[in-house]
Amino acid sequence: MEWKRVVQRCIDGDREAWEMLVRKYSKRIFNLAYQFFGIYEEAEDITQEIFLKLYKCLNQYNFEINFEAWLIRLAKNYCIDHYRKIKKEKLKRADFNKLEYIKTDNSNPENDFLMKEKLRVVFEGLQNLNPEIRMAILLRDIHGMSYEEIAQIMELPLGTVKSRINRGRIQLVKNLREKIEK
Amino acid sequence: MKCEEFEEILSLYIEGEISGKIKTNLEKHLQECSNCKSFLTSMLDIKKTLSNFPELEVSNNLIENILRKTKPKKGISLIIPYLEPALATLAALIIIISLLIPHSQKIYLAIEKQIYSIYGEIKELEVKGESLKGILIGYKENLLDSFKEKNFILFKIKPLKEKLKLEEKNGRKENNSTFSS
Ligand SMILES: [Zn+2]
Repeated sequence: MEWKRVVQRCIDGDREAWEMLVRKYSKRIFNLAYQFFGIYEEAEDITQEIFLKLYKCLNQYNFEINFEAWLIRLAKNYCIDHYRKIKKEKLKRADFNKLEYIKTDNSNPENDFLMKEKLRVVFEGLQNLNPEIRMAILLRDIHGMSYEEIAQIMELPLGTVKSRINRGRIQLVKNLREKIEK
Repeated sequence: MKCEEFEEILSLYIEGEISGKIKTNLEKHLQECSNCKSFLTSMLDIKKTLSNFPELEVSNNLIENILRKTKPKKGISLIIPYLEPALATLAALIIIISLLIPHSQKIYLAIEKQIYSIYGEIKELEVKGESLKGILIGYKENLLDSFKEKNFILFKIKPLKEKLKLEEKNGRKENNSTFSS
């Protein structure tokens, strides 16, 4: 599927193309927002805002760059700006329960429990990272993007991206160790 | 090198970005130092956990909301935003004229009135257009339904006849009642 052509149709006012675009990318953006904020309802609101923004500024899209990277950059900017705007104390604790109901492939219930526990600790650890570091880790380790792609999305030099991810991973390990010791 | 310095390069090590003498030193240290070894194990474990992070489904509600909130205003009403720049220019012209010509209040009011009436007419057209559309859709559906039932004449006429009969009866009743009282 040539998404650039779909984008062009959206700019020309093709309703069907726009619906296709929303259906195609909303899951990715919603999950990114949920991983970033850790709160389901917040992630839904943010996703909606990001798509309203996309709808308004789609005609500013530069066709020479990859559309997905462009959209993720827009989403990343929105998430980080929004995070800075809201008072941290207003943010509720990360709600892991939405992830808890997801079935794991493990047939062994004990393993299943351990996996979920690990997931919960890592998920909460993520929420304690500084927003720029958190975003870099999400893009690298959950979304599997390359350092180069992340540097493009975050508008940062490659070296800075590497050192942020490095910092984030060290913090996550320390957080995990503290939780185990407790 | 101290343990903390080794910790600093573990992230690059698991990405395969460390080579040469530093890599040899690190691997040697990892064999000797249980602390750094367990740090590496935890880091790999976290990376694996993140790469298997469950993906949530998007609620249909969210998609519907996005689509609803990005819906352009439909039909004839599009004409009005289209005309708005022209009307705005006209309004600006009137203000300039009113500043230039003394005692121009009356002229100003007259032109303003004209603009409002044009705007009103367009609005009215828009409403008529919408209702006409509704009527046409109604006819289309009725016609299709009656064709489907293969007795479209009866379908349209029978209820109408009954309705007329009923009205006739009611009329008589009403007349009777007025006479009787
Ligand atoms: Zn060590």
